[in-house]
Amino acid sequence: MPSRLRPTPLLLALAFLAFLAVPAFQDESMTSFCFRLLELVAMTYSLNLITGYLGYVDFGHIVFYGVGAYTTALLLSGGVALHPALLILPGGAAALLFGLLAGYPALRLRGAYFAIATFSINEAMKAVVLNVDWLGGSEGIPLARYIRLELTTAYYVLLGIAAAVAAFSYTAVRQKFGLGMLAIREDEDVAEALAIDTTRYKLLTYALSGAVAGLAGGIVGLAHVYVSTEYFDVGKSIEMFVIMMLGGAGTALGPLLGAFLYFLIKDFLILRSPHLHLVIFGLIIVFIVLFLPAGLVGYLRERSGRLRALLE
Amino acid sequence: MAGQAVRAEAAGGQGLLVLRGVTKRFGGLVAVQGVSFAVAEGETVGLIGPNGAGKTTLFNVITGAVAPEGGEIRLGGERIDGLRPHEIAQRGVRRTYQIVRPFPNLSLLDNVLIGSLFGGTGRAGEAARERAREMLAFVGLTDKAAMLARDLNLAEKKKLELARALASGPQLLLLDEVLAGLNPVEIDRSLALLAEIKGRLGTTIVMVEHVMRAVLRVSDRVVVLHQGEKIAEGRPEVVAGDPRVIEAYLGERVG
Ligand SMILES: Nc1ncnc2c1ncn2[C@@H]1O[C@H](COP(=O)(O)OP(=O)(O)OP(=O)(O)O)[C@@H](O)[C@H]1O
Ligand SMILES: [Mg+2]
Repeated sequence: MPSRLRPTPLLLALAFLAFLAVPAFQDESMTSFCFRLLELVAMTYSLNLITGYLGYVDFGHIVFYGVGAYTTALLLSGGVALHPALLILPGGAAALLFGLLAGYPALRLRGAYFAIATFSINEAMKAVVLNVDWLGGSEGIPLARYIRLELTTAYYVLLGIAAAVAAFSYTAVRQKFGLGMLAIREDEDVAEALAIDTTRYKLLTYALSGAVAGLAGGIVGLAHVYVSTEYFDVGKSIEMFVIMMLGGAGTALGPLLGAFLYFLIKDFLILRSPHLHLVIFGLIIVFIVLFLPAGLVGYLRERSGRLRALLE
Repeated sequence: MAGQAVRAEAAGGQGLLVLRGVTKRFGGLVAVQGVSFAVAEGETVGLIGPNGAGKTTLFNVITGAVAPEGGEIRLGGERIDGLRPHEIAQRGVRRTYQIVRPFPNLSLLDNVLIGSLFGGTGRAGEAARERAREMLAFVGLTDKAAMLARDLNLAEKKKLELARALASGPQLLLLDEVLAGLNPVEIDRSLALLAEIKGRLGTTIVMVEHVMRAVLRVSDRVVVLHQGEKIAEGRPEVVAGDPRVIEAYLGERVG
């Protein structure tokens, strides 16, 4: 195929370059707003791997975020003296391992059964953290006395995570690994009959997307110098779903566009209708699910073959 | 009957695919009952029988999609029953589906590319892509390569499945009613394709087919199933005249 202009990587690169420039304005509130935005971008890209590309609905995806955050926090409070940017690596590794262990039984389930299992996995972990003393219990783990991390540093680390998972999403679907994920999403039995080791692919995707969420959880915990069971809050899982659905599940642009849209709509609604904004937001979500099930990018892709080639 | 069994045994010794006493039950229903036959390398075997005879189930058993309760299946001398489907596929078995199952939301090219990337083909990157394009050209779908599979008509979907199955260069191809639902012109085109797969690629084929004209024309040998059991086996023109076969089909039409 002749190489032509590809808008998708261009858009992604521009967006992440814009993010890169944000701290230069030295506006604390703007940086912290973008930090929150990036957190959701990274998390949604991570969810998109398992749910958008592999087709396994993960309602408990936030569990990886919690595992990453707690691992990092425990190492820090336990006296492990590493640069904070390195301290999140064991958090990501713990999330990866957790994904392999939890995924092994859970991924035998399909469809709604898997979704329910992931939800339960998260609730179980949350209960463990709440009830085990050395995990901080309901108090959580305050980190302020171990570390003082510049927001800018945390911001760049999070930006790196988000950009990396976005780039991976874009490139994966042109390669063996990504096509294997898509085949499983489309028809798992057929994928298996085409010699795809579906068990391995599913486990790897689940653990890998978990590792990304674990890294994100780690850096957010360090930035806020506090972790608690809030890090297992399923509300955030739902937020990620909304963003993914808004933008378009299974696309490389979806999570980024979805996150922007999400914040635009949410802020607009909060300003216009401070009391009813959640209700209206809920209605918008229902509307999207009913009329734009493929999300914005998915909808545009379905409109024409030309757009499909341009937006990925 | 006994004579045929002996012949099947004999062929079984050096067949690419050898089934011995394969049985599959669904609860109380015996879908496949003690079926034995062999397929030699390069051969095209027609698998026929009335509705519900167990043809598709036999394909599901061979590919590992369902586990048999009894019997053994060998591919190139090696037991494959009990292996997981992807392991059997890894050994060069590919199939198409009676009710078509292309990957609906992927482009035709990606559908076939997946076929050419997996299964120890050793192909990667541009080589795999090139192979996928070749296979699309082979079935005459080059113009539609960028379309989504779900937007194809039935005849095209069947061709796409064929291209996807061929992309890995399989040893054994199991075709489940690739001609059903096609109009006479499309049937002729598909038959020409099959002849080419057989002639040019030398692929060993087992084809389930209701279109008798096609079975008689393409098959070297025919195996007849009826209510899960093999009731006849032999050269197509001989089997077509076998009273038991006629009765099985007539019984279906009348009853
Ligand atoms: N998964 C299953 N569960 C229960 N019964 C099944 C299953 N698959 C097939 N059967 C039954 O097994 C028998 C054989 O079915 P099969 O689909 O193999 O027949 P067939 O020869 O392919 O028929 P057709 O020509 O209609 O495609 C039928 O009675 C069918 O209802
Ligand atoms: Mg059938």
